[in-house]
Amino acid sequence: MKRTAARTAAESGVLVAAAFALSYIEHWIPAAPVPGLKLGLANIVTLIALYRLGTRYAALVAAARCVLAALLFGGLGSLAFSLTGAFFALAAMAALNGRKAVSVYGVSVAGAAAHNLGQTLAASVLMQTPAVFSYLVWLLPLSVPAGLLVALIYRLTARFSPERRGSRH
Amino acid sequence: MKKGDVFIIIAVILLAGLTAAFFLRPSSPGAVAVVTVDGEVAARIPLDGAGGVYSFGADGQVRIRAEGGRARFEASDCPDQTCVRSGWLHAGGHMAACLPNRCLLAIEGADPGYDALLRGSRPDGEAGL
Repeated sequence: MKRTAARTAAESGVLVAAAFALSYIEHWIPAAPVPGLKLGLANIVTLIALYRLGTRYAALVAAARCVLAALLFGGLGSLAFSLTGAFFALAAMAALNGRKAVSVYGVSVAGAAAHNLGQTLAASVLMQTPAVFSYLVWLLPLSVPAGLLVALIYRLTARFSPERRGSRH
Repeated sequence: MKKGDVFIIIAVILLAGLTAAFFLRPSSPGAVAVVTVDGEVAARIPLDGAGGVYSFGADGQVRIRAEGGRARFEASDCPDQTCVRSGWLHAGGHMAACLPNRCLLAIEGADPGYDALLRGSRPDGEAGL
C-alpha cells in the first residue's frame, strides 16, 4: 500500500486512540504488588508505531498518549513520569530496531526495562533521593515477562496488519 | 526468540541483580526494638523516630540506644559485656541478650517488603547501614 502523508496521519491517529484505550484498560487493573508496576500494555502501540511509522511518529504517538492519559486520570505529576518512561522505552527500542540478532521479543523486553529505568530516574529527581532505585530490584526482573507478553500481543496483532509486515519480526 | 533476545533478557536480569546488591540492605520501616526484661516485654521502641537512649533494669543499669532502623546495647554493668559487643542490630529477627541482667533486645520488622529497601538506603542514614 502506498504510504502518503494522509495515510500516516490516519494511522497515527488510530494508534493514539488505541494506546489511549489501553492506558485506560490498564488503569482498571488492580494495584500490583510492587508500586509502579504495570503491564505496559500501551507499549504494544509504541511497538506497532515504531515498526510501521518509524521512530519519529512513534515518539509523537507515545507523547500524545501520555498527555491524554495525564489529562484524564493522571495529572501533571504523572505526566513527567509517563513521558520519561515512554521516551526511555522508545529510545531503547529504536536503538535495537532493525538489528538482525534481535526480534520483537528482545526489543520489547529492552523497552520495558528502559521504561522502568526512566520512571525510576524521574522519581529520584522528583523526590531528590536515590533510594527509589531500590524499586528496580523488583521492577527490572518483572519487566522481562511483561516485555515478553507485550511482544506476544504485538505478534498476534501484526497478523492483521494490511501489509502482513509482522512476519518480518 | 533470537540470540540477541536472550542476551537482552540476561542483561536486564543482571542489572536487577546489581541493583539488588546495592539496595537490599537489612533494615525496615516500622521496625521495632523489643526489650524484654525478666521474661516480660519492658518496651517496644519504634526505630522510625529520631532515636534515643533508654534505660532498663532496676537501677537503669542497661542502656539501649535506638535510631534509624537499628538498636544496640549501649552500656551494661555486666562483667562480660557480651551484649554491648553484639553491636548494632538490624531488622530481620536479629537479637542480642544480656544474660546477667536477664535483658533481651530483639528487632521486629513490621514490613519486610520493598519499603525496607528504601529505608535501608536512605542517604541520611549512617554510612554502611
